[in-house]
Amino acid sequence: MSRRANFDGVLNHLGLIKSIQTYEITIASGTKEKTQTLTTAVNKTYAYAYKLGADRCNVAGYANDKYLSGVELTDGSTITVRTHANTAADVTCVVQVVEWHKWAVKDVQHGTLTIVNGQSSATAALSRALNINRSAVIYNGSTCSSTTQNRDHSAASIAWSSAGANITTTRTGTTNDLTVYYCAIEWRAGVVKSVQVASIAFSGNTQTATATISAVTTSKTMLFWGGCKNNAFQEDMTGAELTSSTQITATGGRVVTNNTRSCIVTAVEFKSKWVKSLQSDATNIAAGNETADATITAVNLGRTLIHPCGYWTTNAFSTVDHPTIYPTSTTNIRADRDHTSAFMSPTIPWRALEFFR
Amino acid sequence: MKHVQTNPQGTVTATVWCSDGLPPPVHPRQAAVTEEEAVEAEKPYMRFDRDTKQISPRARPAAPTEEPGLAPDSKTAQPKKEK
Repeated sequence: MSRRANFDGVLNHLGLIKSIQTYEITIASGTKEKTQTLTTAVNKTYAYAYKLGADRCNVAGYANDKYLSGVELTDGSTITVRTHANTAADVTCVVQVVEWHKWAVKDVQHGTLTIVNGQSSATAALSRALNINRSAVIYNGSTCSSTTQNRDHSAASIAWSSAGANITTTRTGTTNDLTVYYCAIEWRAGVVKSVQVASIAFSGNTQTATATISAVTTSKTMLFWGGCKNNAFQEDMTGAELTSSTQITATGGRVVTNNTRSCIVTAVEFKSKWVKSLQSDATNIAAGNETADATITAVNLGRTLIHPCGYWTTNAFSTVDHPTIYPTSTTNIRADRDHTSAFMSPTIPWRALEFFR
Repeated sequence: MKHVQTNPQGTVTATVWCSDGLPPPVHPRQAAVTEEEAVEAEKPYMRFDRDTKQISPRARPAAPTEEPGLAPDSKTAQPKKEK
């Protein structure tokens, strides 16, 4: 056996994932920051935090963009969640921390990017240019100085630019400061088969929009959410699903005549030998219900990525319909919104990819 | 490589960047255009000659070499080949 083949055999045995931890974190009413100590410390160079959905709140009519939250892996033992201003009610989000073995990931870059009042975009240089053939950029929420609900100003998408040298975030509007939280991960050769970044734009009187991608094996492909640009209203937020081997479909909560909506999704197909299973759903919380459960075939939660890809919701009643998802057991994934509004019905699409190791 | 996709009205509906080695996505709109172009290509290319005042078939003009629809920064966005 060659030394290379022997080395590959060792990697196959050790696998890709070192640890996966999921935390539900609540910013208490009257505060604007919450830190969470990790049960198992991670090496930040090889770990990212992924916000599993949006922000839950149990107060109807909690419509204010200054209470949106952003998530960061502050150091190897701490997650920090922030809002722009002290909240008027508890705000809860869910975060999955994924630590990869160092032979699986070259590094993860963590950061924030602020679009200042009067601007619609911001760009900054990454500390190291990404190899874009095996990288993904993750949108991890945002904080906004707005004292009203204007999702055209407070929603943003983010992606690499300038061939991986820069990171750029854009929004539809230009009002208020908006700080976007992100992680940029670069896998090593041998982990990823292909990467495709789709920027999907809605046009005309539509509720959905699609992007055609080069064919992937859907059972090996994970979607990473890059955020969305939006119209003014909450029901115009979008989510995305891999609807066939060659198509990503983005959905909003309603048909909109004057569309400014778009979203960014990175489809990462992992090499077949690493992937044990992949399950997906777009879980809908019915009007009047607080949660909805999706039963899955049992997975090992210690090596299963559970990543949502945006969300959409019906009705413009308020901003309380920010759903999250999280596993409640090895066979159940729950969508949750902390209240039981009869006016709205959010849907959160997700994919759960289990690695062999 | 970046691929721009449009609807029948010509509005950009998606931009997809594919990593090295992937074939380009075959967007339905692109496929439709290709079929139309194929039908058009079957027709003889006619040209009016001012001197003879006659219409006669001629060789088709060469297609433009630059790929249409790519964003101006597409060349800078080319991924480097892995060694």
